[in-house]
Amino acid sequence: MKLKVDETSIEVSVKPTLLLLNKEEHKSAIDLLHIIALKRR
Amino acid sequence: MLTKGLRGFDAATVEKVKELYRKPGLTYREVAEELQVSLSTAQKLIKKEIPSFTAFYLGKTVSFVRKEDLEVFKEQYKVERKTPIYDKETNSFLFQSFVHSTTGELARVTEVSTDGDVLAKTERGTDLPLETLVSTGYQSSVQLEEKTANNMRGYCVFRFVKPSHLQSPIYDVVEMFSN
Repeated sequence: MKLKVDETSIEVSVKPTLLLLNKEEHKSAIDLLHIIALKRR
Repeated sequence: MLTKGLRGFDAATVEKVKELYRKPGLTYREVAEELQVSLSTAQKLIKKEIPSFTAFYLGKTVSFVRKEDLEVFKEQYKVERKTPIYDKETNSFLFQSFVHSTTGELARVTEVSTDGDVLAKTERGTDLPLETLVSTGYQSSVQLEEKTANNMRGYCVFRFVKPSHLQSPIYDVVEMFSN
């Protein structure tokens, strides 16, 4: 994972294969991403 | 006067030999150590940005970097260097969460410096060094495991607005991906 942080934003870069793994913690991360995306709509 | 069986050399010869064995510059490994990066990163930087030269040293042709060239690069690299996100000594990472063992209060790592200083912020807004945080009863909510590097090509990039509160799910996402 790579992380870029400045005063106003956080940028997270992850390997796509990590997102495809059928692991609980990554599924939870994707669920959270959905929640964040919905909140920002 | 020399003892039998011993051979003497004059000072000029010794100086000449010394000169032959003097390293003409910094090796790639030394550059990596100076910049506190991996050897492969140092090699990439030397290839693209730091001038290097080859010289015959200890019986083979070796690439070196002049100390002055490295100093010039270091000044510029200091500005460009990315925010450190992991501290090897304490095995802690940026935005890692800690929970107080009795009160359940949350704290998060807010700063990791290249010198190994790790700072955390508590829910009450107090900034504490990691050592103090742990000694006052906070425990990490995650443990980093040793994993093999994922060398697949490409990245998925997520950009978030930096949250103002420690409980933000954005920090949770970062924490999940870190592990």
